[in-house]
Amino acid sequence: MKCKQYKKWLHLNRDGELTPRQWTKLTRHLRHCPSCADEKRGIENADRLIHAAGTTVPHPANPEELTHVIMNAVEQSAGPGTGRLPRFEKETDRRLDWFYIPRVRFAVTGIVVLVLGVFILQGTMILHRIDRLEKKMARRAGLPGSTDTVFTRMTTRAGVARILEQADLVYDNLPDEDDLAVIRKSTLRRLLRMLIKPRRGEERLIRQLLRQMSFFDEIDIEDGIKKKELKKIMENKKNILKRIYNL
Amino acid sequence: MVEISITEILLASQKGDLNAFQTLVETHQRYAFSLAARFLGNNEDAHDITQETFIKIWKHLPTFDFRCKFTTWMYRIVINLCRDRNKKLNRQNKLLDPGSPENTAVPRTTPINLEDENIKKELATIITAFAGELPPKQQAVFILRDLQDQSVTEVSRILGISKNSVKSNLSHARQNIRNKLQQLEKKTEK
Repeated sequence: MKCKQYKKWLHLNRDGELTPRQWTKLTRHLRHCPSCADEKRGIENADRLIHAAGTTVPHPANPEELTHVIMNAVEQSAGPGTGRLPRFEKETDRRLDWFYIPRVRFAVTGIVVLVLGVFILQGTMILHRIDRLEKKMARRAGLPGSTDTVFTRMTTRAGVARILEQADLVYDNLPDEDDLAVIRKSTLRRLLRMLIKPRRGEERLIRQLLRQMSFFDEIDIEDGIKKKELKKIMENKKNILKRIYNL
Repeated sequence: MVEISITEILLASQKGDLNAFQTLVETHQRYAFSLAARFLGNNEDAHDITQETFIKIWKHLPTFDFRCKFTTWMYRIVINLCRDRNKKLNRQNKLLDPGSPENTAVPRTTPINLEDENIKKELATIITAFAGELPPKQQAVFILRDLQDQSVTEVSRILGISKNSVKSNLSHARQNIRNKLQQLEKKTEK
């Protein structure tokens, strides 16, 4: 730690202003740092003056008269519960007291960055895996692979439509059953994810998807879609169907 | 015992009992006055602020819910009134009047005798005036902690700020006051 921080602590030299740990650190530092030790002497000198000033308490010249004046004013004023209090400072930052501790602040920031990093990394890895799988399947079916990235295809409506077309094409051209199961899973997984939150204008895509719903029951949970994801999709299935047929 | 009697006084005052309220005024006016005097640097204004404080207390006593100490609540009112008063007044002019530290014939090449009541009073005037030059939050923290002798927790409750904010402001305030004292000392030595 730098002398600047210790010099700040030197000013907090009264009871309860520094934690025992800070005291120990400061005392240890003062043994080795002549500059801070000098500063400490200067501060003690100023403290004596401040302390002496604090012992002189201003008091009203005539307390009885002041009481009398106050009581007169009170009697003339309206009764209790009739006024507006002056505004006080917000107390919200007291709730965030712990956040002022630098270590906590760094730790929280670190955890947030780490979690976000892991989340982004995991997402990217999944997207790449899907991309690779899809390209592999397209190659096996003798079709040209998509030039868009998985991300573009999954986030734009035209991209999703292309996925469907390609999925249909791949599906029609797939030679053996095993590969068919794989492509069902990879396509459906992405499309069903979109189904969880259908947007207006996506009915065509959803209808197309529902045509493929017959695949759905065949999918092996262990081997593709996560259980949680599947549960969510199943829960939404009824709502999705209702929405499509009410359109 | 004292706490109970204060509670009783407060409960009676909340119901509109003027005698109980008078007791409250008699027992607490000196605290309100000393805080106001240290904030404003003069007794006349402190007198007015004390009066205004108790009128406000009387009007708002029914809203006092005993979640904090009565003095904490009272100090908050005093500080807010003082801040409003300070905004209205031109503090710079006040600080340059003959009673200000720049013009006070203060110390001294010889060591200050801190037992001397006159010197202590003089020092109190100087330090109060220096405190008046601090930013509002530092001023409030410094006066409450160093001059009114309130604990860090109490200061944080009165001002509605965190304890760490109190400590940080306190450290800066003491450093500023110390610098000002050093400057004053250099001037008087010349």
